[in-house]
Amino acid sequence: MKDYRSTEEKYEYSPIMEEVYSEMLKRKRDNRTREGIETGKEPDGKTPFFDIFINHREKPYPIKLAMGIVESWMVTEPTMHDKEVLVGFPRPMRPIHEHFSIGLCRERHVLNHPSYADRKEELNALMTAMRPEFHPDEGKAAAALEESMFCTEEFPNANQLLWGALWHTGGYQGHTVPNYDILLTRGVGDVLRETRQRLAKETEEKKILMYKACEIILQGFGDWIKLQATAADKKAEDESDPVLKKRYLNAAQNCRDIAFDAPKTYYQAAQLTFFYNLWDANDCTGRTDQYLYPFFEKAVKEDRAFAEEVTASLMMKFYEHGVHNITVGGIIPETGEDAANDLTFLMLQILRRNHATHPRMSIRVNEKSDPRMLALAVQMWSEGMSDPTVASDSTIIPAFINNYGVEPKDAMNYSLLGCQELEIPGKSNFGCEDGVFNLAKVLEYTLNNGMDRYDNKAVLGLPLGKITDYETFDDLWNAFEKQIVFLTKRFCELCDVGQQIRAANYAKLVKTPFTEACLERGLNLDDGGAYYGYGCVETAGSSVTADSLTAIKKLVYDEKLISRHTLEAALAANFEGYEKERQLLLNRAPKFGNDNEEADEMAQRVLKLFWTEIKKYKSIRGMEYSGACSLLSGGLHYGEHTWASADGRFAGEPLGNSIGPRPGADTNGLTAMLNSVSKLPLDLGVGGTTCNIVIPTSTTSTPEMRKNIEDMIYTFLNNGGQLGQITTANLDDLVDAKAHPELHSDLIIRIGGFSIKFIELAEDEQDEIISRYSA
Amino acid sequence: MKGCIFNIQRFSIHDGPGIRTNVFLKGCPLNCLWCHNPEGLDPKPQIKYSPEKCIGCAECLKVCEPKGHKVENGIHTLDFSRCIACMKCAENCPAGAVERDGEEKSVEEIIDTVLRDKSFYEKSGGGMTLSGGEPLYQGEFALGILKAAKQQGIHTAVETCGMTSSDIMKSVAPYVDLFLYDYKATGEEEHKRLTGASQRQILLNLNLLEKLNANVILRCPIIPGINDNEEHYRGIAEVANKHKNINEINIMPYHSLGNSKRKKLGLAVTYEAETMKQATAKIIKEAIEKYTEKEVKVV
Repeated sequence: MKDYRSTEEKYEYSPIMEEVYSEMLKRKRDNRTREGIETGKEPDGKTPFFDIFINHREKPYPIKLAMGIVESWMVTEPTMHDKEVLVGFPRPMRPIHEHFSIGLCRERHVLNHPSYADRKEELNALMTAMRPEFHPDEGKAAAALEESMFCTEEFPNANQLLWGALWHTGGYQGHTVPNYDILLTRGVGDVLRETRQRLAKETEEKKILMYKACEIILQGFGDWIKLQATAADKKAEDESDPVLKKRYLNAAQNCRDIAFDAPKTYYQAAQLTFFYNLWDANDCTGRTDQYLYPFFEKAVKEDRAFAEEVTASLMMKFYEHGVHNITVGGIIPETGEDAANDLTFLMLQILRRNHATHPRMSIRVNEKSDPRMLALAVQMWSEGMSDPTVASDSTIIPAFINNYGVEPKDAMNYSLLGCQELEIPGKSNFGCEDGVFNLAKVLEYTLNNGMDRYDNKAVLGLPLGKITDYETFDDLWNAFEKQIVFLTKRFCELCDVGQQIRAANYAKLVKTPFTEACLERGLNLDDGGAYYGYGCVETAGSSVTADSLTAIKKLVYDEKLISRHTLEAALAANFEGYEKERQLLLNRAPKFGNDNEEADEMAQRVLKLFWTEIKKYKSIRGMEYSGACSLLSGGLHYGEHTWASADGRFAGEPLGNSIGPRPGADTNGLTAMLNSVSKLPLDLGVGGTTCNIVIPTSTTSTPEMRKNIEDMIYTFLNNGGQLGQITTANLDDLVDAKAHPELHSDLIIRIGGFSIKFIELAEDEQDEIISRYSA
Repeated sequence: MKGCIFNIQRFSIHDGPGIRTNVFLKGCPLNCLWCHNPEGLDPKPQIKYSPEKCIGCAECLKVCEPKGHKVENGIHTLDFSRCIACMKCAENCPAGAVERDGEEKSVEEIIDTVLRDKSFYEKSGGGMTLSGGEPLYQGEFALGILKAAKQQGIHTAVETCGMTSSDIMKSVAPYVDLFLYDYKATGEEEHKRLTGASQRQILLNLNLLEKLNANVILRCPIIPGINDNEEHYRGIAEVANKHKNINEINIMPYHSLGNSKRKKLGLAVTYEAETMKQATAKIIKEAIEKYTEKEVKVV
């Protein structure tokens, strides 16, 4: 028996699985070019979703939505790929945003889909007609926006200046982890029974609709699973090899067995997990090594080789369909003991074998964790992977309990999701994310009398003065604080509106019956159905803001090396003609990320101010907003719309995409950077705060060095660090990959929560990554 | 107590066990042709000039009394022979193009910085490494830092060329958990040619450390065309074999970063690698292993 806990051991496919794997890779390649329009197949001429909406105009929206979802799955042909263990599925033929329960709300994507090439106008007309139904609060949104500005009439385009520059509110689909425990222990049928019982007793019209929609989904899902048996039956019919024939027949029987009943074997549990994950838009699957383990444990005793093959097959499916985030390890809430088990290690080893970007995996680390889990992670990084992400139980669990009132057993069960966010799987909706807020833009307004520097007349914040008006640093800070208080209120109001739109859309209908408290409350997942309904706000520009304030305090107010008038002129000119001043700002003031008290305290102060402020507001799901800082390429995007800052950054340069320092600002070594991050008020950032950690390849080449990396990461997590995302590569690799992409197709790097092939990044994104390595 | 250092480097994992903080002290009694830390040669603070960072603001010209800074045809040069290390140019350079290399620091200031990573040392079995220059060139100061570190329970290593008085070596030894002891050349004449100094005291100190039962790793920079020969490989092995307190030999392949630093410090380049001829680390390791049972590692 192989010991997958050892880094020396590697997972290897059987010859048959090797074939299945290479076939899957071919399919993936064929499909990839079409990802821009989010489809994997040529259109098949069918538009089931649209047809339901046209043919059942009289039915209420949630009913049409549920019927549309079911119908679009039903008309897609069941598929079992050659020699596969699990019954498969082609990539969706229809626009993902309607196919996967999000409905018609993401019009642009749907309209551009080739399925609708001939019927664009018709579809457009339908959407316009339906718009009031799922945008019930557009008027309120406009009012909230208006109130946030002082010159609306003069500047009708103020919204454009705010959107994507200062903030982004409530417009995102949102990730959650549904409750796979309920799915696997109760089965689809039992949840359907509960839904019907509640429906029978319900009198409130809105809740009746909610239950009816769930009923349609659950009945449809079960029927659809049964239908998938036909694909396996057909394979069995055509197969002469008795081993394969038996496997196909088993797979077919599985589909019939798990359509409505709870799975009894690991094989069935894995199949049901995959099926439901497909319907769940391949969203995150949470603590997969935990809910599958009871089945796995039993299966291993009977036939270890087959149990491993089932696991490999599931991981392959997750790879093919791009599953988002799987969390493994951590602790068992009931006992408080280490949760890492044989399945944990097997899944990690399969990911290592695939050297793949998906599924992305995260490990939860604590003092009881088997140290071999982190050692295996370091081994994977040293081989050029960016997964797994590491998460600190000792930082995250107490923060959930102490600051957000999460029950201890639930806090111990937390999971990663989305890009790099946190939640309580199966019973929460943190909005993930409700909005993005750019602190650097707030400082821009503060230094410029509430105005955006890109349009020097639009007053978007409070007109409190310019840098030249603030006599002391305290005056400046007070003004900054007032802007934060003022804008946070507007921001949260807008987030609420965005959430109301989501709730009216029933955007998470498939997840709803499998998320705790939704059925009990009769509310959909975005409408406050989930047991925990915190908000989650991504925070952009924290280090740029803190470093700018530090530089102003030190060089302008304390040392008077630069006068306030000169700074104003330098910023207004985007430093053109002020290179000397820019160099002083860059070099003569400490920067966050170097374990320097002055710079780090400012970063703590800035984040604490904003994250305490947002905690004063509750999301429409009933609970407070929490901070987060795990932006994807958001640091680039928000940087493009943020003017020159007093840390010496030119207008348009990136802001940095994580909780760490701005790229290149940390020069004191990794431990210093990690210490700086650990000191931040991450207990208010339970939305998820990622620290990007770049490790030079040369420091992972021997076992001793890898042990040092392991100890460094462990110490960071143990000292108050929250999430760490590791990339190994050297500068030469990256520079060469930019010049010769063809030679570096295997170079995987990590950008704010996504492992991605470096060569697939845009040029400016590549440059931003390279600049991080050049420090 | 104060002394002069040129760098504190955190997260060092190549100079001793675990995660370490390296403190680089200025001043060295040797002058090796290939020196990779030339900023450690001079015991006093000096000026470093990096032309690529210069923004042409000419602030340095305004304050340079001996007129060492010049701008001709838009190109800023520094005549190091005129430099009196008054540091005024560095204090006035906004871009960090002209920098001060070397700072007076107290033992307490250094230990404060070292302690910041204590939890990392504890988990990884790491600690502090004194390096340079030759850290024992400022013997009293090095002793002060080592004592303070030991008081805090921190593992200590000293990276030394061994060229110091027996008294200093004897005084620091009780506070050093590990010596990373250089062995650069085999034969007295060869040693003088390559390092500018006799090897006698270095070998005596090595014997002394054996008597004191100090823990020693022998560190051997292998420089292409200089000491990458069979005779030296055998010499390395023999020295290691002769001392029972040496359990490990480290091979340090050459890198050429020293030369660009030399240019920035106004020092003449004394060695250019014939890198094409550089033997691979594996070949060197095997060559030495022929003559010794002791562990040979490439670091």
